[in-house]
Amino acid sequence: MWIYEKKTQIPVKVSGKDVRMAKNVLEQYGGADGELSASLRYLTQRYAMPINLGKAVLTDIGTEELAHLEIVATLYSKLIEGATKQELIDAGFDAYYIDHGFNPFYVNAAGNPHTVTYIQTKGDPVVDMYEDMAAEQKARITYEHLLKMTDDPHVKNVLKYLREREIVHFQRFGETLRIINECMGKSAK
Amino acid sequence: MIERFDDRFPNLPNRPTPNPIERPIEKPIENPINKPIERPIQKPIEKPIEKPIQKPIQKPIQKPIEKPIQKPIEKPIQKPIEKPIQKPIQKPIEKPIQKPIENPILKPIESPTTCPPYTMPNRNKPQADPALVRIMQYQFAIYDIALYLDTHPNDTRALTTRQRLASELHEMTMAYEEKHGPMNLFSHHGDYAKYVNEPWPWDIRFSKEGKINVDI
Repeated sequence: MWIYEKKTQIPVKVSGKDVRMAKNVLEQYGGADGELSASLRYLTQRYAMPINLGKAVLTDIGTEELAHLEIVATLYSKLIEGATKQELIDAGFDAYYIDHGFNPFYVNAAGNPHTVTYIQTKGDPVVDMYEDMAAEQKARITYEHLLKMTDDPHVKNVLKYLREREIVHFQRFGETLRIINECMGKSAK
Repeated sequence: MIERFDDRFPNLPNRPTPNPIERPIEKPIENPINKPIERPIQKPIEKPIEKPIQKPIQKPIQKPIEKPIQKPIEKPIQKPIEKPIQKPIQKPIEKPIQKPIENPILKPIESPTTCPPYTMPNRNKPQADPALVRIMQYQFAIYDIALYLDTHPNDTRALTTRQRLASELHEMTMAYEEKHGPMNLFSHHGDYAKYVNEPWPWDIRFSKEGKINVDI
């Protein structure tokens, strides 16, 4: 089961409000390669994972992605805090505001709602590991695109941290894949 | 050697220790976007692809014994030796904390000469320790009271009950973790390897009899 801890994984700071960036950041909230997709993907892949090591990797990374989801939501909330009518209109964010106010919602930067068709599990550990490694790479490049769209050093710090975690996750999935390939069918020694 | 080092850095103990939280964030600033991409792509992808292709072709003809021996020996020996020796010697003075943090994370684990223990989907699922069921019941009781307290913060009876159950749960959880390993990543009780290798929730079978009730 999951137990909530009342903190974010890292401190989330912003220099000031930036409605445009708040809108962009939603890509990692409800986008195809966002943190919600990642978490749901890994956590539902655990039940066909035959090796305990893989169950631990999927559980722990899936849990960390939930923590990242909270970071992205916090970042969004701080970026949009205090936005005026004119700022919302200038950023093309007024239609979103009418539907969701200042809350983050599971949509991507273009406003498309999250759908479970973004993710997959095929019930095979090797296939699922390739899916997960691809997902981490897509999430990493999305963070790099976001980094190009802001000059706020505090926002950049948060995005860089999250991007680095995608690389670490990719590494762990790659090692899990290798262990599955080399060890499945062999007895433990 | 030692005297010189001390002379050159008389203020060493007084140096401000860098903030442990901000360090890992600073690191990617220096790296251009391209740098870390190379590492993860090369290692995990190449290995699983190479081996299944090479082995079936070359094995039956010439070298059935050599190939599987060479690979696991070469790679685990070269990499772990080079990295920890080179970097701590070159830059211990400039960046004492950054290097040891980065390396253990990004360095891939050694190619397994012995495979870690694993379980195939188990039809004879292990039976739950009754202590686990008891912990579940205590946690649910606390959860239910906590929800009630969210909207009734001044109910002293609920507050004292929550307090008592929480302290009892803490004792039970510690005892369970000493036996079965930690229940979460941040616990310091029990053998950590058991976190991975003890049965996962969906591998556990619960008996129908043996209900345990929590007194409130």
